[in-house]
Amino acid sequence: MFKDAWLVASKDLRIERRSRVLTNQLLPFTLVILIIFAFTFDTHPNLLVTLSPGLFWVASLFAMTIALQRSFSLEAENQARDGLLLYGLESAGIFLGKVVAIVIQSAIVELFIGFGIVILYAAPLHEVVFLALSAFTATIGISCVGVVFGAMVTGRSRDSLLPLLIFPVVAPVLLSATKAWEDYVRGKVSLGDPWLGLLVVFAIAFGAVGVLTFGSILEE
Amino acid sequence: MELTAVTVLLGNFPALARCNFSAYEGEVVLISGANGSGKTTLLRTIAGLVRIHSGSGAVFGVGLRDEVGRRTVRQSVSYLAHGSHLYDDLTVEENLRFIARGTKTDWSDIESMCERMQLPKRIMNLEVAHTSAGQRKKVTLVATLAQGSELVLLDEPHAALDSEAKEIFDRYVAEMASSGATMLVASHDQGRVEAFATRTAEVRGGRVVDQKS
Repeated sequence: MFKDAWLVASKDLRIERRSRVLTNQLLPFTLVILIIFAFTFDTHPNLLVTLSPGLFWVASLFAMTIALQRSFSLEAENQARDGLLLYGLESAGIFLGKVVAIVIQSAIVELFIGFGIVILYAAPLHEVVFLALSAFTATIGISCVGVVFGAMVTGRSRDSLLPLLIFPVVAPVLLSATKAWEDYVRGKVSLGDPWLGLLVVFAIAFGAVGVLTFGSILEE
Repeated sequence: MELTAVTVLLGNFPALARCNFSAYEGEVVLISGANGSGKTTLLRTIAGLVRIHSGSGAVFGVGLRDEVGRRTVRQSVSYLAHGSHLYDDLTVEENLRFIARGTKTDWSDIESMCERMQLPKRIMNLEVAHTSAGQRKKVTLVATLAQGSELVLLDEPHAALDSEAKEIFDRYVAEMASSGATMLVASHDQGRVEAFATRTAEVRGGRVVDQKS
């Protein structure tokens, strides 16, 4: 399973490196979002810093949705998805491979957004381990949900359904991540933060659901 | 492999309607029929890529009705489909290496098949998006045939190939057949396939209606 996961992840990452969608489209897109937020909310001092946890996750979610759509449009081209089935790759391996590739791309985007928030909104930066852990677990949770729904809606003009399906399901993850980061902004964080714990639970639960159901979804 | 009264629905449309078909070891069966008659769905069903709505089917004794059976069947057949299954942003070599790792095919087998199909070495580092339709078809043929499966399903294998490549391919298929592999070939290029086919099956309206040896 892990061998198949690495095969799929390395294939997806190689395609991304070659097509440069991340650097040429996703990063500029998130920068535009950050600038628009800055213009929209820069009416009161410190308002942007207070809102920055929510803004970070909204920008990240938009970028992840695009990355997910891209990840599954690759499989729709030339019926490559049939190929994955015919090569005998384990469905759990395909799921985990897709999740790993999305998490790595999202981590780069989130790092970029994080620096953007620090520089553009003058947000404070401390407790980096807490920030990284909460971002990592939330990203895994969102990616697991996104990969499951991405496989469901690939092709035949159904791609636009993806945000409609993902956003309600990942709302608890986004809420937990935003709450965790609000604690961070207030300076009340520790690795025992209950919101961080909840993010870990979501990541494990969504991951397990994906591993167990992905085979049936691919067969549809 | 054997299909008995198999119905396959694409949406609500019965692409196969109570279809009966069987093929045995060492046979080369030409599957003919008009556009939309169900040839591709027949091959996809045998490859374990679509769900059977009713009826029963088995390949190498493994049932096609359940998900686990279809997964097992998919691993034991080679299927050349309409779509190339290739990734446009990867090079030819990267695609072939991905397929070789996925199907656990030795790279040396892929290399010798590349030579056999006269796939030019200079295109190995070319992204698939920049190759011609004929070159893509050759790459797909290499990937399909190098797996050395005992059941090979070929959907329009001659399409996009030049006459030299068609000759090479036909010679190879004849050799495979004589070595005992079973091959089902859906083709509109009937004259070519009839030259090495042991049987012809005509598909009409989602059924195999006529079989001639």
